[in-house]
Amino acid sequence: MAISLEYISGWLASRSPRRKKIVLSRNNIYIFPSAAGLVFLLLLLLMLLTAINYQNSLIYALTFLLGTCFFMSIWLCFLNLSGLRIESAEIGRVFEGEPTQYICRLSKSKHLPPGLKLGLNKAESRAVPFIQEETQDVPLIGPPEKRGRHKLERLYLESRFPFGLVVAWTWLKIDLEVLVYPSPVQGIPDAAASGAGDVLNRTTQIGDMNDIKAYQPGDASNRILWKKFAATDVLTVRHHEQSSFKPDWVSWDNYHTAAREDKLRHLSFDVCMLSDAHRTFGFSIPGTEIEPDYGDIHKRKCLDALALYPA
Amino acid sequence: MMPEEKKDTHSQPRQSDSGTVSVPVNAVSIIVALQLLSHQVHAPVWLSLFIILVCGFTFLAHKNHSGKIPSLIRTVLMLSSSTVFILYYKTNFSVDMAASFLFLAATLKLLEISKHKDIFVFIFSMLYLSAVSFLFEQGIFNTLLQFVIIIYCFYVLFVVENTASGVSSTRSVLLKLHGKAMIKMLVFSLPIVVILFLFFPRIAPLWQMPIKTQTGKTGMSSEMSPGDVSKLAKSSEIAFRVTFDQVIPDKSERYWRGLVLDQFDGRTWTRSFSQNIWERPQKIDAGQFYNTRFPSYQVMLVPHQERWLFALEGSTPASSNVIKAEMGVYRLKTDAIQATRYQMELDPQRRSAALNSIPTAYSLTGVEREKSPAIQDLQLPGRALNPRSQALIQQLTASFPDKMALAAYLMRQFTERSFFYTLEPPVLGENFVDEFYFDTQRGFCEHYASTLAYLLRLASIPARVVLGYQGGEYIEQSQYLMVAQFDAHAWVEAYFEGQGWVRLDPTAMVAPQRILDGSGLTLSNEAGFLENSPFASAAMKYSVLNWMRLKIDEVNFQWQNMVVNYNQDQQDSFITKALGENSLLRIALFFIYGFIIIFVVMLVYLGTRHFASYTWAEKNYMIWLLILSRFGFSRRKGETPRAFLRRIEDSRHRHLARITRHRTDKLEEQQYR
Repeated sequence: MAISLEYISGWLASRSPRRKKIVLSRNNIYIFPSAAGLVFLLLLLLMLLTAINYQNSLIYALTFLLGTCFFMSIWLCFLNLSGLRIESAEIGRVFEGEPTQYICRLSKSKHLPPGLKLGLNKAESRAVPFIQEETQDVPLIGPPEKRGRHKLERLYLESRFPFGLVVAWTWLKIDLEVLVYPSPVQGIPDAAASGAGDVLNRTTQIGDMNDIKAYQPGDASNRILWKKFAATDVLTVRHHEQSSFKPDWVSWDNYHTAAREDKLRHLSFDVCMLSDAHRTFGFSIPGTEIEPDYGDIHKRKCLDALALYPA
Repeated sequence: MMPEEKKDTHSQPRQSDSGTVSVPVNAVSIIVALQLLSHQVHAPVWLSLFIILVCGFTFLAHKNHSGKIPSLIRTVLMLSSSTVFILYYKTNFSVDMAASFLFLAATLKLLEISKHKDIFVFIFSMLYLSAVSFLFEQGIFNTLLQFVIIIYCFYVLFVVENTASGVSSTRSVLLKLHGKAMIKMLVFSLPIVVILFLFFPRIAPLWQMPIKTQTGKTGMSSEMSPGDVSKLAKSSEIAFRVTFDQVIPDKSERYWRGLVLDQFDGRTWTRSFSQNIWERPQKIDAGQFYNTRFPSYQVMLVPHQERWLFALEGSTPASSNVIKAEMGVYRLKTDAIQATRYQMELDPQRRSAALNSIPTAYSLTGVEREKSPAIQDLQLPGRALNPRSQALIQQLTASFPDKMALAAYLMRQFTERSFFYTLEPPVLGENFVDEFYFDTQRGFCEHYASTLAYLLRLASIPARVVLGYQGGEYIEQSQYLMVAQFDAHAWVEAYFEGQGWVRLDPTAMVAPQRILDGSGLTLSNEAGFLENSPFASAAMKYSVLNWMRLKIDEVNFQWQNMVVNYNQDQQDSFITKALGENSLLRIALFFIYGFIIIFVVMLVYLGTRHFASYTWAEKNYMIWLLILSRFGFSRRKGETPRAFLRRIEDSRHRHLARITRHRTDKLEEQQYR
């Protein structure tokens, strides 16, 4: 048994090697009558028996018509899926404890096939809402994972197009990845360490800071103080560039006492907080050092580094 | 009796995520409405009412976007309809009961549609109901109706399956994108359906099925009271159509014998108990025609739900679905629930011959009693009835010692007395014969036949009433005889020592043109004639309409002949004609070739689809690459066409190089234009 299972999984692996991009074709679509289709076939059998026992030509004709439609629906189901391209859209990024999210890009010339269901396995597959586009990015939700980089085992794709009488399904081994960040947990920085303590103090005072100036066209929109705008009707922005403050550092050394994973979570918290406050900060952990910067890309870089920190 | 109410907790995951399905209520309502129209033949009024109610509630509920019907209404509808169902049908199992049950159950399912599965249950029931409708009605109209229903059924499945989120705006987009593919599918499947229909072996019935239906079609009943036959004159519905091999009998010879009624209670003629022999129900026989020695004719009987059939005098059966009963009457093996074809042959030895001694009388052969007592033909109702007739016969038997002379006298009386042939006779009382014969003297054929047979029996002449059709309209251009309900007729057969059985038709004495011209011309001025068939009635007056009526009937006849009655027999002769011989090998070969052809066509179709996005130059180039690979040249990965060309030119194949250059030029010209 074990041998045969091994053989089968080996065969399956050879049938569907892991790829960056998969185009559906004769080789990787399997079509079989669905449960409803099997009932439909039973219905046809019943009709045929009725036709035979009542010697009724028109019931014969009806049975043949429905039977032919059934076979045609196999054909339509195949044509619907054939040529569908599945690839990775981007790496999904989530925090520990959140459901993982793989993002998969579907594309087909002219328009996407309707009636698709995608999922990490059969039970959790979900219908893809039909849009009349050539490409569509579909997020796939998986169970929460531990910190780090995760590759998708297999991807399940199913379609009951056009009538739900046949089901075409396929298991795809495709390079979909997700990075799981350490969940942000606020820590108490070591008193000895510089920077982080100030981080907290300073953010609380952010409203009274003097580094604000009138808005000028060209200023980044994420630096506009919207709260102030709402209150005074005057657009004002922060100007970190001219800030005389030394940039903050999110550093491995800020938390001496905590265990490794806890430490990563605290750092994650700091990165998120600083970034959300639109602050400029540097990042340093063993093996990775990122120059002070600000913005979403910077935040992502830092969090990526945290996620990929060797366990 | 309630439709299955499955509270399935273990539902498929696909249903759990989409929650309630979006039901295309318009299409569902259309399906139910059309199905109701198709099943009008047998559906009782209360069933139609319930179905309309249920459908209406479902429609309103889904239009209000809630999709939920108050449970009180649901319960009331389900309970009340199943109660009425049980009270109406009791325990008589019949085809129409089964059909009504299926229809009711499927429609009630609409009240609680919440999952995918419910829609499938509903649609599958509707599809089977389509098959069931063909048990009742096999005309072209119903076939087209069912075709539309099937298209709608697939439409519902398509919508339900592919609009998971239930956004109705995607529905029209989807249909626009895929409607064409669906129609293409239908067009592709029709030839396959035709081939399957023609070649799929027609198997003999595997077991016997319940076939009693109670459809209220106009047609002959098994007994005859005054007014029964004249009722039929109000309908122009076809009773049967006949094609003749050689001779078409004259109008006056077209006596289609159906039932022999030999029991009289003073008012109603019925079949005597001895005729009601219990017969084991049999499997349906589609009717295999035997080779005939004598001129034959084929009858296409419009389903009348009974086992009797109609045959000319002197006929013997020539197809497998006809069995012989007593007194020259034949029966079908099973009730005629669908258009039934049978063949009879006319034995010249058994031809009826005119008698000189009695006016309009013909001597018959092959109509004798075989098993039952002959005394039945002298049975009389109570002595107290009809004293005047009894007195008259007593007087006549004294003056006419010869029974044939007496019968001749009685027949002549029908012309000599002032009898009048009419569809609307006055109502008669207890002493029906007396009142009719001596007082009112106005009646339709059943009055005359009934009276004559009674008088003959009083005179100790064995006599009985025969119920059937007389005449029919021969349609010259389509070569068949059309016998309608208004051709229904009743006449008398009497037995004389030394002469045998003789047909006596008093109507031929009262209204000779009824026999010579048919009831159409004779009765067309009567108020009640064709009362129930306004179209046919108008057609009698206007020739354009009549032409239309005949054309429509011809199409119907061809439909019944070629499609509805395509049975084992016809299949056999068709296959022999098409394939040379009807052998399993030939059919197998035919299908194998057929599948190969279909397979090739589909491959070509797939191929063209795959290459559809390429231009001609690209296609040519790709084909040429394939050919080149045969010569050992294959384009390397990343090699431009130009570089590939250079490589070939460097080799010695000058001929190949020339063609490659040509194709590469074309390709580049086309691409970088």
